[in-house]
Amino acid sequence: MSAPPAGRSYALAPRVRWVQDADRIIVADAAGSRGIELRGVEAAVWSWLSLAYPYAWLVEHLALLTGTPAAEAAAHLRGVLDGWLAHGLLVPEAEGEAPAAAAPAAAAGDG
Amino acid sequence: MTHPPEIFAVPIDRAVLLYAPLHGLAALMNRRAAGQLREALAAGGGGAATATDTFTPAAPVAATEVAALVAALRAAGDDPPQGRTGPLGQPYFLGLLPTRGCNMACRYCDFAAPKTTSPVMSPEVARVAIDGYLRILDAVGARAAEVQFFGGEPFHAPHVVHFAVTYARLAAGERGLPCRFEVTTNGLIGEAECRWIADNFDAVVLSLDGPPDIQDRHRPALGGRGTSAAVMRSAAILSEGSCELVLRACVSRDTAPRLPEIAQWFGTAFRPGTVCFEALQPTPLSDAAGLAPPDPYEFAAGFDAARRILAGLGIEAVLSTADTERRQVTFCPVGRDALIVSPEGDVDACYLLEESWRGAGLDMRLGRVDVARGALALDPAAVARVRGLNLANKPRCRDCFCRHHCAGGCHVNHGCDGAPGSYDDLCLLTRVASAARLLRELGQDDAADAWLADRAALERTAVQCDDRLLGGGGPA
Amino acid sequence: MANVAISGVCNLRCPYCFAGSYLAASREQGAAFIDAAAFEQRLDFLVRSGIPEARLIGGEPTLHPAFPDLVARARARGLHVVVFTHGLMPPRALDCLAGLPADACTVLVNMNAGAASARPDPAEAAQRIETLIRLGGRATPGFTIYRPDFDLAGLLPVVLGTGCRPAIRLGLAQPMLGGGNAYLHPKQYRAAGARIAAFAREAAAAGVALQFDCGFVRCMFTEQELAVLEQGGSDFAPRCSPILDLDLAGAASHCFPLTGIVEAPVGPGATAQDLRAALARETAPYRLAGIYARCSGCPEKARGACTGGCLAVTMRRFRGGPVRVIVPQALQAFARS
Repeated sequence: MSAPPAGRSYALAPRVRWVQDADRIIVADAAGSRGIELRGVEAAVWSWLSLAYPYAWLVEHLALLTGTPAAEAAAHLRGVLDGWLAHGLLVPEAEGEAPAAAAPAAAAGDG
Repeated sequence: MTHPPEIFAVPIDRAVLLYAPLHGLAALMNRRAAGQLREALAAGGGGAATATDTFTPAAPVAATEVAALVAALRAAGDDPPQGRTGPLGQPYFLGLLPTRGCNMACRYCDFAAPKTTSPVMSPEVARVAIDGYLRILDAVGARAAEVQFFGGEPFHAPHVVHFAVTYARLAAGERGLPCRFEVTTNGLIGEAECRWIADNFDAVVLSLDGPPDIQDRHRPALGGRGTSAAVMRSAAILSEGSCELVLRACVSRDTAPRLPEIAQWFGTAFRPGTVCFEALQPTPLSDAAGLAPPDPYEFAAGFDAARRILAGLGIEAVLSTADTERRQVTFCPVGRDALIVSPEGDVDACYLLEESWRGAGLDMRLGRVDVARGALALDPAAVARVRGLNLANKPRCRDCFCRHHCAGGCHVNHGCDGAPGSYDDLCLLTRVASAARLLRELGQDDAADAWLADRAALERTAVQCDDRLLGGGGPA
Repeated sequence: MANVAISGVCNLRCPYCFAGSYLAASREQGAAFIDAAAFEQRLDFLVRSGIPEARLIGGEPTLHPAFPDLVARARARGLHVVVFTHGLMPPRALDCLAGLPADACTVLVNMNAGAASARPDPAEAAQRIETLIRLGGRATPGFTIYRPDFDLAGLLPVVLGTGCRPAIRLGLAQPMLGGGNAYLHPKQYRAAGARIAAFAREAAAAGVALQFDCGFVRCMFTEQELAVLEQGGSDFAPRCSPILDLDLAGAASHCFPLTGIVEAPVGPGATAQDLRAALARETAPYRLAGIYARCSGCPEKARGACTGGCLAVTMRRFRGGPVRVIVPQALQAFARS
């Protein structure tokens, strides 16, 4: 597998925990004693981030998800990520939790 | 008076099991009482039965009870289940095959698709298929959506599943429709992937044939390596997760005697809601691997024991052809307007390979996903043709007491063109397992135990060609 | 209410015990039993909080070498004494409790404590029956449900034959947040509900009421089964809130499964109300969810008719990571507040 492109890495902020519910993702930020519900496109992006998809894949599939051109999807994605950063749900990786080692969902058990 | 024809009687050792599925009625009686019942129904008039013998040692069937049965059976029962008619209704579900490729080399696999070079569904096909399906649901006023994933191994192309689930949830949600997700998988998947599955699916059907020695022999990875450790890890993750775990076990001649052990292990090592047992069907691969189908009687008796063990743990055990609680005219999604999309974008009624169903003389093609037009192109004539694949066209099943719940089994792999009562091994095990279940539901455990332990008695039950009480079959 | 731990010791190893790590820590710290001074502080807390009862827990509380003295101290404050016990108590403890007025104490006897199989040890069962006979109307038998093949049938003859309170207290084994104990998974709740409801009919016919501990949820019963429970005089209600378990060190945890994870210090003058409010604030984010993926959208939960099940089970569903994204260099235009 090729090395990820050069760039800044962001991960889940410390003390943030989350769960996938039937129609939403619930994010619990223990640091701020607040709970946030993610739905629709935000929930989709969060779910894909948990699967370690690369940025380009996210843009391409967000475009398909929303039926918009790639440039619009890219802007949408930046907006979503920026919002999470502003809310402290994501932090630069040096401050965040150690990421899981899984490659983008290509691993198949022990094989 | 015309008697309802769907009244069956099968020998259970020296007794008779009466079964009238459309009346929701079953009874265990002695031969004399059964004979009197038949006479009374055939005569069509009044007159009480006069049996004075009682069936010993199980529950007696006295004269008053025979008369009550006559009265009940003279009343109109439910209509037999019918196939769908008219325009396309609510599809049973939308099926997506992300790929027919697979990362395992199961010894009995009947899938002839290439393992690693099979086509992969594009996300565009998935999206158009989901949109088309949701438009159908809108048109028929449906209140929920359901998407199922098959393969090969669906997670051999995980990005398709990830996109499709996300898109279907979003698109259905915009329509105010809850969407249910189900997947059938071999479980040879990474831990992170498995957790995602546990979070995002309502039900996961996991193929696991038993403890490690069985799993590794039956279902190795490509290259022959054992898969039990990884699949058990997946089963554990799915057990803890939100989804319902359904374990599906293929049973061979060697493993049939171990059915109780397998059931106990499933029920204590994991948390399945349901365990499905299937008899191995012979394939060239299974022949080469020395795996043989189970003896039908041994399988049926083992399934009965397994079912009781799992019931004690609050787990349902299913043999798909012997589920007496069902009333159906087709065994599977075929004929229920299920829309199953292949990796290439064909819409079929069946998830098996095209060469398989064409080889059986069947045409399961319903239409195509038209990506350019963004629509599902379905042929109404094809839908009507597929709906005709039902019990009415299965002569072998004509006089079998299992016809309304088994409905003849798989249309592709279990031909039912033979003469009525020409039962094969799948039929035999279905008949025995079904009768055992009815006996247990009647509380006739002693009779069931004795009968299941007597192979000759089982064979008498299983091979009876005509089960109709008012036909040529029934007690002598 | 608030539970006061007086013992960090137990002589049984129940497979479902959610105090396992707490007991081990207590042993390591050498803090096996509460001393009199600390117990008086707990009593002060209860009194200033307006709590009329002293609920004594452990480990096994009756193993405290000064158990009768602690009970006397609580009684001297006018508190009703509640004891959670496995019922295999030392004679001095049994004598002490049996000597209290029947309206001054409640002894909850766990009838399947220690059982690693579906059926309890006969000798232990016999001793528990003797305990119930001796305590009479002070005692309520209890049962912890931690495996799907549980069987309540044997409890009715015990209740009817020992003169104890005509009630059975049902508890759901809940998981320790870090795992390690046996518990009933929410996927098994519906089947459990059907078993409970079937037993409830028998119990009601015998004049025995079912009492429910916390963690049960509405959807584990059908509407018909809920009606059966109500008609039988049960106190079923979906409950999960900060119990306040005061441990040997004086910290107040939300409940035992969350010991060491959701805690509040008991400062001078603090009341139970203060602590519950603090713990409720801390756990509020997790309360958006429940034990099932459907809880967050459930109308019963939305209108407050159900709490969404055990908080510890809910919190176990949450996880950290691996949410991660690498933003390509060319797009580094993020602002952080």
